[in-house]
Amino acid sequence: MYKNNKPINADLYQTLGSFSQKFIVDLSSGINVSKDHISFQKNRGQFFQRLFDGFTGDAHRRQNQINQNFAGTLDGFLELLQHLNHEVAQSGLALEKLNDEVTQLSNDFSELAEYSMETRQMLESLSSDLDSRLIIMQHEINEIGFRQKAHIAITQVFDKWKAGRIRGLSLAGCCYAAMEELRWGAFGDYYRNPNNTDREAFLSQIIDKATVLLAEDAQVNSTSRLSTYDTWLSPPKSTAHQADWQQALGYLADGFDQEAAPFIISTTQALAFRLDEVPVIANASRIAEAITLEVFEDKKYA
Amino acid sequence: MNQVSIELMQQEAERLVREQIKLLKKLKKSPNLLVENEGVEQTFTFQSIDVHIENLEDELYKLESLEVVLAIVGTMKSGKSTTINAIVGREILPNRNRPMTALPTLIRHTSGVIKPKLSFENIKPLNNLFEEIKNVFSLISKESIEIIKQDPDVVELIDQINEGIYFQTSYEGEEEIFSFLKKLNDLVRLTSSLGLSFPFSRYNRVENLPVIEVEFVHLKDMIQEHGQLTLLDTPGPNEAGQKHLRIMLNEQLEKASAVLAVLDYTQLKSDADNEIRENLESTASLSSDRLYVLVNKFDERNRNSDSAEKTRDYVANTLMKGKVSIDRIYPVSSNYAYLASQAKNEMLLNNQLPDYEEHEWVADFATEALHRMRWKEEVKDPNLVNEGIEGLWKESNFEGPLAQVIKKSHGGSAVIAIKSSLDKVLDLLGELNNFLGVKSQSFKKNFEDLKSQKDIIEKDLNEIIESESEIRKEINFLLNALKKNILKSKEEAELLVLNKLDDYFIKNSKSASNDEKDVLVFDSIELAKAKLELIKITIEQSFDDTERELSNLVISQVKKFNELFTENVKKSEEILKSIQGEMNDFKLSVKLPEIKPIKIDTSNINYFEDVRGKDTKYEISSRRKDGLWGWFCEKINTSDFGWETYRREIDVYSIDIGKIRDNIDKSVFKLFSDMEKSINENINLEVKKNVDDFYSVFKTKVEHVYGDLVSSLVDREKTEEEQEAIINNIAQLERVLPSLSKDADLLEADINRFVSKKEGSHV
Repeated sequence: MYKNNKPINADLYQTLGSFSQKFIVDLSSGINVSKDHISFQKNRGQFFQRLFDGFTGDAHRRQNQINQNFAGTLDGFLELLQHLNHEVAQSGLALEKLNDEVTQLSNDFSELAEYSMETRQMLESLSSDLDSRLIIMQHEINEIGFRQKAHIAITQVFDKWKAGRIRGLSLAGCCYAAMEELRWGAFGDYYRNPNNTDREAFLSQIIDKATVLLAEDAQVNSTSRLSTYDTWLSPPKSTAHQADWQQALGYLADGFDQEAAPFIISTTQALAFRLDEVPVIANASRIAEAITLEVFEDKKYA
Repeated sequence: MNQVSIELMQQEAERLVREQIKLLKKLKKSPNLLVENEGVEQTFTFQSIDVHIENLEDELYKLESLEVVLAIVGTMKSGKSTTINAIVGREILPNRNRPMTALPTLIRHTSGVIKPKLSFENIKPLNNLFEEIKNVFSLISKESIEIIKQDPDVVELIDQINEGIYFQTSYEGEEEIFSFLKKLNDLVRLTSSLGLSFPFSRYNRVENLPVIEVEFVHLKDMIQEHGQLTLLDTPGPNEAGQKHLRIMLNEQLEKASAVLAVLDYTQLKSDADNEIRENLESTASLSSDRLYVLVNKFDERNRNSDSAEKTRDYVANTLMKGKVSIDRIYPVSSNYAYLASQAKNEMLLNNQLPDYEEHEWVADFATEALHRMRWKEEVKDPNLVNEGIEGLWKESNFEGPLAQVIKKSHGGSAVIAIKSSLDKVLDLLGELNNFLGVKSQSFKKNFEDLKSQKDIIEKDLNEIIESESEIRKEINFLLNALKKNILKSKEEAELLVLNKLDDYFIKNSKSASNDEKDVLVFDSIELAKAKLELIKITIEQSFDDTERELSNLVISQVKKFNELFTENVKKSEEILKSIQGEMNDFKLSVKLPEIKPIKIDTSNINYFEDVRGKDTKYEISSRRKDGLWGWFCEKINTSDFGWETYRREIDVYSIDIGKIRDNIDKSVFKLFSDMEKSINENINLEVKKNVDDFYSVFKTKVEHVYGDLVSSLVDREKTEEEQEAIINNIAQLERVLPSLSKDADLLEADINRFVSKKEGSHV
């Protein structure tokens, strides 16, 4: 079988910000510290490897001091994280998750003696850096003006979708990618704040917008009932980097399970069978609503 | 608006059924949710869930094996039976040049069934008829039996009846099936010649008809692609069953996935033309978008006959006046197709054909498919035979049209099956909604409120019971009025018809003598014929009037009843609303059964046809002229002696009005007793069934809500942890309900759109 080892196309993570946000969280959660052993779980499938090469390659070009073989050492990882933290992690969600991971790492690390002072310092600095960034971010999220930011995020994501920049995906795939963009961006941060009383209204607005775009993409009206598998989930005609986009979608959805998110699983995985939770016939609004709710009701990220 | 395909609707219905089974199983496993409270019926119990699951599994099976039903219509000479035999690939139907389809018969493709099997569960009415015939035989003279026995076809049947060998519920193999179907047809004729009536009314439901299961050898691959295929052999216009089973047949034609009309190419422009046209026109009105026409016997064309193109054009534009489009008309040879199919079947089973000297069809096949001069040799060579089969099958032009018909026709009956499964899904979703809703609601209320809510619903329940008994009284009153009116009308009708005849007689009386005052005498046969025609018209006229009057009367009474019932249904809805009010923000889902307007089977009123038709003897008899010779012959009372002379001396013609009166008397009596029976069976039973259905659903649902409330009170006595666990379980189960209900509602709308579009295209 042909193996694609090339780094992921830059266009992909430039279009899908959610992608980099999730990557950095995953990267940090890949460091395992157990009693007498530290490892980095880098080998998480071919796609993650390519993603890793893509990100670290960029970093490498700009930061010569990072050793090419850093991937095996903890210092190398911490250095990379430090760098990506500033470069990539922009959303409250990513910072929160990153912070959780680093705090956990620091806790585990404190039990081990054999690591150098330098490594410990690096970890502490990363941790405090994250703490302060998070405080600023949370402050910002709680401000009244953040509502506007959430609003802008919605407009940007839907404009991106409308302009056809989310490519190489099924119609439901585009919808799911858009929802991930929203979740990992300012809207997600706004929505996760329980003090915002209009969050449900915002969510309905998103469902409506997604419905309109899905129907437009399928060239039908929003109540037209179509075959889920032949229309909404059907892959587009072959386009450049299509495989990358589809794998990226699979990667974004890797935390979902079949029971809680059958629509997302059906949209992002090439399943050998159909899930009974997903209707065989659906209109745009059913698809939009199901995907939106599955993304935003996901407890892991709520 | 785009339309969802049947396959998709079928898949979606299957999915909903599977999801519901999953949900019910989950409910059954949830601890503390189902409790047995003696004396109170709840929406769900362990037992009722098992029954629901079983029913849903049945629905799933039905959905997975949806049938395509092809109704085959045609005149007896058109080759309808050969066409069916060709599709099946075996001589499964008696192929005689006379009416053969006494009862519509279903022929179902069943994979792996090499030896055809006929099942006929509803055999009792026929065996009762055997008894009746036996009794008649014991009463009539031997001479009369001998006369009946002159019809060679019924001899075997009469012997069977005399020996007390009754029909069985199943027959296996072509020969047994063939012989059963032939006897069934003979029985219809024998019954009629004995003046008895065949119990057609007992066969007016499709599930009561005989079913033959067999593998359709030539088409099995094609069929598997498109689901199950069942043929419905319908009686032709001259066959007994058609008249008596008209309503059922029309319903079946409407339901059928497709209707294949078989026409005879050689008779297209003959006198039979009118009959074909009339028959086709009525079929087209029922199934226009699903009607396909096979112009059979196209192999019999010669150099001067119309080409395929011309034939199609003639049938589409002249015969059918554009009611069937030209691309649905196929000139074929059912005979070629049958021979090829039968040969293929034999080759598959034995890799050789049976002896042509014993099996006539083999010679028929070989002379058509093999070399005309060398076929006796070639028929022994499997390769040549197989080549011949392919060639003849191709020449028959059969496969193309059939593939197209089967492909296009995956509809009709399938939609009905999907809808019926979906109705069950929707109903059960409503029950789940009620059960979980009442339970979760009750946790939000305090104990005392809950108790008073229970008491209020108990009161509502009593109100329903009272209202039901009130309505039942009204129904009885109405039914009695209906009966009385019809009885009155019977008397009037009897008088009307007979008085007309009497009037006619008095006005036209030209009796020959006093003792023969009921006999009209004429000097020429033409005059007699003309008078007879006049009498016929007069009688028919009064029959028509009575028929119309009766029909209007029954219709208006039933309409009145329907109105009253609808009013009562409205009252019930009020009760429901007040219960709903008790439920606060939770929406109770109670779908009351649809009240079907009672249909009147007007075909019963058409019993008048029997009086008008062949059963009434409007005969003109000849008499001897008065005179010595006649007197002489009469005195010696010998027909042998006087016969020749008698024939020569005829010059007086008479019509025996007394006989006609007697006949009409008998027929009218029979007509009304049939009608009374029919009113009792149809209207009375249907009305009662309608009311029973309505109240049983209504009462059960409210009883269930009551039961669920009672069990919720029990829940409240549990520990806090247990209550917490119940609340969580309910929430988990409730989570999927809204999307399932939404999908089910949307599928229902798809089906309705599909049906209304189909209906629209009929117009």
